[in-house]
Amino acid sequence: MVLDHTWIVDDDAIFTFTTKRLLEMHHLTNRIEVFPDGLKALEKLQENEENNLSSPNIILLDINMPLMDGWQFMDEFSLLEDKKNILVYLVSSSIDPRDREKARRYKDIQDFVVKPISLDALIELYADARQLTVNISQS
Amino acid sequence: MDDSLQFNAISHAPVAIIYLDRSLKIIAFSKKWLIEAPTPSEDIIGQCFYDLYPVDKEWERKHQRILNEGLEESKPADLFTIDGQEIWVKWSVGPTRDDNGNINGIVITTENVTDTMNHKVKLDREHQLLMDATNKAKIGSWEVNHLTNEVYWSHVTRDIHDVDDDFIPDVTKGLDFYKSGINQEIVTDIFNKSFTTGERLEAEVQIITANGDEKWVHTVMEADMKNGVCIRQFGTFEDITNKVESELNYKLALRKFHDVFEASGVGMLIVDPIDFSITEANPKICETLNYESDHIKASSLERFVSKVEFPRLFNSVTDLLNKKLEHLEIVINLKKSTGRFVVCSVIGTLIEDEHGDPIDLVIQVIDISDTKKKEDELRAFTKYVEHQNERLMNFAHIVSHNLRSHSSNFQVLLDLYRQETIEDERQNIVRLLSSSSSQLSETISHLNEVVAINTEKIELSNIYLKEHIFKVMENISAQIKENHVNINIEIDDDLTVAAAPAYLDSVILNLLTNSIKYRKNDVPPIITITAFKHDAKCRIVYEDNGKGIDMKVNGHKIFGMYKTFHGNKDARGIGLYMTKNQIEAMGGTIKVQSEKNVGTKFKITL
Repeated sequence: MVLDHTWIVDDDAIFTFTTKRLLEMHHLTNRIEVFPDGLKALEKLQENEENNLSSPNIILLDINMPLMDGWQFMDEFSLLEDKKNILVYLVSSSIDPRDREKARRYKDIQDFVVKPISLDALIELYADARQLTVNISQS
Repeated sequence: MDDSLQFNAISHAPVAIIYLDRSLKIIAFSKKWLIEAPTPSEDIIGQCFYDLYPVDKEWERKHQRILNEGLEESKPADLFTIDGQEIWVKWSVGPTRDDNGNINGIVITTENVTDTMNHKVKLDREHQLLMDATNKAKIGSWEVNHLTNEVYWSHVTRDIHDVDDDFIPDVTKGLDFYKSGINQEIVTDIFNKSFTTGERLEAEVQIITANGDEKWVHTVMEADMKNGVCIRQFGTFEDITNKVESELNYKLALRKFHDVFEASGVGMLIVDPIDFSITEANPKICETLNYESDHIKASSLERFVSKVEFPRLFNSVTDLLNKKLEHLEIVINLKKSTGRFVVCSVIGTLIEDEHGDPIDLVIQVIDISDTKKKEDELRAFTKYVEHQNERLMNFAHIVSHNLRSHSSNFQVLLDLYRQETIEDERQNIVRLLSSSSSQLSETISHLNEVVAINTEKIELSNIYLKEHIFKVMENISAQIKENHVNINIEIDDDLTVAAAPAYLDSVILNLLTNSIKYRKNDVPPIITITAFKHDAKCRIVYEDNGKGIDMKVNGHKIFGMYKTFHGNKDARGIGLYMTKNQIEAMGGTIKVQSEKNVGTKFKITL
């Protein structure tokens, strides 16, 4: 089972490029959209919700971004009605334990992944996400 | 003698007397009898005694013994209860005899001795009380009778000398008990003087008792003189050892206190706890307050306490007087002769008399201004270190984050390069590697700059602020002109600020370029800079009418590294982070107020 639709929300162009390329090469997902900050991603989510368009299956979210950072994005995200089918993974270079602790307090964040994210880690992340999706659709 | 005459005489006898015949019928009585032993009728002649005065069997037997054997019985005092009243009666009962000596009746005489008896009882009781008192008071007595050469010592006197009742005192032995030397001389002297002049004399001297104990005694002597010759000397003798010792101890304690008071390294005052007048001041407090002792002693404590703080002291002393506090303990500013205040720790103890009434307030004053100053310095230093530590910690995370993001990019790009088969994509990866490399260099140079700001020792000099701002504006005059920026500078020409010129340049430049970069698109930019001196510091207020920042959302990130808020392509997120670091390196602070679409205001203190 392929998680059809992936969003990468990160201002780091190299990260988005490499991640996108790896996902494509290994067919982990069918469709990839990239957002340079939290605000743009949020606006798109809200727009989709209004127009009954499909939302992404998985979001790879950075913490430090201009305009709206990962935390602020999650604060808004938790208010969305359609969030149930979206799995959010926090992907950051931060090794500050305060960030990891903070991530644990957001129940909508599935996991905290530290950059660099290797191919193996990506495959594992998607396997985990697939399992969660199965659980969600069964419940 | 004629019977009737005889009976008439009896009737007038001055004692209560009654005559009975052998059958105990009354044959005669005195008028006094009827007073002492009243009967319902005075006509009692011929009546049976027992009918009028019922008596118990004991008495009946007594009467029969008198009639048969002629025995007489009497008692000086016997207690009777008549009509509920206790009376003492002296009585005698005896036989009467006819001319032939045969017993022919009984005569009873009685006398009411109640008054006499009561008096005696009272005297006995008083005597006993007196004895008890002298025993308890340990006051003994003595007497020397010069006519009989007898010497008397009372029980207490003997006790004091540690001799028992068998001891036979005389004058020489008595004098020998006094401690040899001055004590014996004094007592001998007053004994002789009292003997010759009859004067009442006294002395407090020491004796050595029979047990070898040393005691202080108070001896008082008087003399009875007859025709200029002393016939008797007597007096009292009291053990005052405890009194003298406690007096000596008191004097010793007083001297010790005085020595401590004078030599103490702690300032001390003795104050009247009611009106705060100072009665004593030791040399150390004179030194602390820089006044002569006489000057302090003439004043009230209130004079040396600041007006604002005196109520606090007053309340504490009140609490002390009301026993709400055990000790006075207060930190207060005391005024020196120079008019300056010195921070002191004041400890007060209340001295009470034997009734528990307060007499003195002993106050100890320790100048703690040095300690206080050091404490404040230490606190400020600790705060500074904490702040530095926090900054260091944040910096460490920034460094780690920023370097890690580049290194991870390298790693992933290289991985991808190995996997990539399409030549165009590989070229693309190489391009990204080179851009990542230059970004890393830039990041490292930023971090170097931050480290430099925080580690290099900077020299502050007084800079004319207005002139300096103009100089910075000249450097970016093209930008200012191009964007039609209106800059108002409301600063006195001679206002100076203590700053490092390069940092001040950088701060001003950064604020100005930020204002231009984040100007509103539809309104010409206006920048206003004012500055004034406040508490020996310079406060600069910088205000623009730009896009502003939503403080609720991003307020906490404004001065963060690599934080950008407007999505501009050229935003690096380094400017305000540097600005804050530079200002803090110069010992200043920067605060921000901003409102989205209204503008931003920075308040800088240097």
